Amino acid sequence: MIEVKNLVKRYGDVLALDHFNLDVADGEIFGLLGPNGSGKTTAINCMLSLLKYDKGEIRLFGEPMSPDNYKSKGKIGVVMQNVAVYNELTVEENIDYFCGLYVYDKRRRRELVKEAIAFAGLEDYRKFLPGKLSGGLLRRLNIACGIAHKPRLIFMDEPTVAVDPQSRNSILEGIRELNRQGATIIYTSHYMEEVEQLCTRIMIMDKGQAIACGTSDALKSMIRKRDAGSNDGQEAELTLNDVFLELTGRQLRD
Amino acid sequence: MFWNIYRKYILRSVRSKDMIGWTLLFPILLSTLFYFTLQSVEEDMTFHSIPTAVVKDQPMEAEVYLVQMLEEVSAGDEAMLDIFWVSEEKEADALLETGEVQGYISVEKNEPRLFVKENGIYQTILKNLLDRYIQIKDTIVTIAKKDPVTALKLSGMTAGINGETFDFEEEFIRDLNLTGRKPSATVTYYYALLAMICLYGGFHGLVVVENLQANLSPQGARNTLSPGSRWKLFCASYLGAVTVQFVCVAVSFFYMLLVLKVSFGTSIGAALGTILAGSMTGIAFGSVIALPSKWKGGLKSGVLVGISMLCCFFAGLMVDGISYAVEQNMPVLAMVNPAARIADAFYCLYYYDGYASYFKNIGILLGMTAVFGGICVMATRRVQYESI
Repeated sequence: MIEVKNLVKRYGDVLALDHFNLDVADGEIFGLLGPNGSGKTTAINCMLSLLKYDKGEIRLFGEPMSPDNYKSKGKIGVVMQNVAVYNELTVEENIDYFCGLYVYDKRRRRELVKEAIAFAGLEDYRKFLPGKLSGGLLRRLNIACGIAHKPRLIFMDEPTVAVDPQSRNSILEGIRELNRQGATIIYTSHYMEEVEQLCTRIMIMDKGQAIACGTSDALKSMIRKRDAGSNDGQEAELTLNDVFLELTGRQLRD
Repeated sequence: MFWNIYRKYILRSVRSKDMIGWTLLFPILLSTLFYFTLQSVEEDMTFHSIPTAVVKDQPMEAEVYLVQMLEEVSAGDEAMLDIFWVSEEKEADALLETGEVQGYISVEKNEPRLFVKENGIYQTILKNLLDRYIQIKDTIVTIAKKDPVTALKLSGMTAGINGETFDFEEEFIRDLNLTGRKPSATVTYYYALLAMICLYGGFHGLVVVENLQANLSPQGARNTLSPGSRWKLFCASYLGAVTVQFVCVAVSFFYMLLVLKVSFGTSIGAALGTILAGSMTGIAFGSVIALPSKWKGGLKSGVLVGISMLCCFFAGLMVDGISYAVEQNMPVLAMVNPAARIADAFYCLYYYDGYASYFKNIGILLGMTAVFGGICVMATRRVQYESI
């Protein structure tokens, strides 16, 4: 589904992606973890052909990705970190607008919009303008706008930021449902437990590189093996958070 | 996809208080202010006959041609002078003192003399009138002394002294008024105001491009990621913007036409054509301003307003006659000033009978639209960003 080989991206003197490699199979929920500035969003924007990159190769659905690869773009859904909706359009109109960029048939679109509203639990807010929605509802609208056209590949960049536990739970359940329906999902978040529950495989990034990749259990056992000598044989219950801190360090990041 | 984007753009604009405020309410408010201001200016500019006393004593009666000329310019509905014939200078003085007349004319030693109490436009006109008379009289006398035959040949000019002075001038200056309407200084202010409103359509242009560029807004990123080409996205939004802008300017236009009674000539269709072409140019112009990614939104709005106001200044929005001065001295600048072209297109409909000048203006506006639009499409197609 996604193949990224030796991707290099520089912002001036700063090396944002350093020979980054990624392989995601069809049907996965793939988690991208990393501290701030580790290159997660840059990697996603390069994969989406929004950002220029200096070196490397990106293939989506087996085809090289480019700004005018409309065939591939039509199969992709994106849920951005920033809420990307229009304040002058109602919830329903927003979803209809963004869905309309992919689905031209009106009748089909009406069904999809209805489904997306139900998926995001926004039935009671269809006629609301975004300005009248709470932070959680706004995030759910943002997700609905990104997935209404039933994409095969969905990029979700921290979709649950500033969302209350109830809404987050609902969003995570929705993501699982999308995956059950056949969508492959690339998911970034700072919430470790969320990634641990949701993702089939996880990649930990730091300084533009993939420093570890595997299932949650595989990552934990990697740390256990590494620390086996120093722990005098005592095994503590490891969390993904421990793995993350162990691999990326405990010093504060910008 | 095209019509979905088009419809939603219109919906967003109609619900945007800022957009409606600037493109609909502000022009109506401004044109109303213009109306009240220009009404008093028009009243001030209306020419009234100058109340003037003439001392008709013996020396004056000896100046037959002067008396004839004065009788001539004080006759009819549009008389230049409103003459009070008095027999003595004392009476004339009294009238001048009480302010009933602006000045008085008498003859001393065969020379006409003007007496005024203060300086002003009426006094200047009186002085010019007498100077002109004296100049022509002296010319004829000089020629008659040197060459009596030629002086006779110039009988037309001699006749001028016999009360036909202004016919003499009309031999050289002739007004052409093809539609039969009088040239008006005040309508040009309204035309320049409409030009300003059209150029304010540039605010739509800023929105159109902001929503196409991933590095300018999150909505731009989402639109960029869709499978439609930028060309289609741009055209659909642009068309939506033109529709909204056209309707808003047309509302202002009909307000001026029907409520403020501003004259736009007889061809309303052609006037609406000017609004359409002007709106298209304004929006395309705003789209170009929106392109530099390093400029923040406030700076772009500032640049847009600044350039628009400068264009409108040179089109005569603030100072009467400046557009003519620019056209005479800097024709290229006048040619590429969209506000001047819009205002001139309206004026052509008002003043000229044919459409040649009108179509020339519309052609230039459409040309500018094509250039601005082309720049936008070229700058946004297949774009990948260095950073977002």
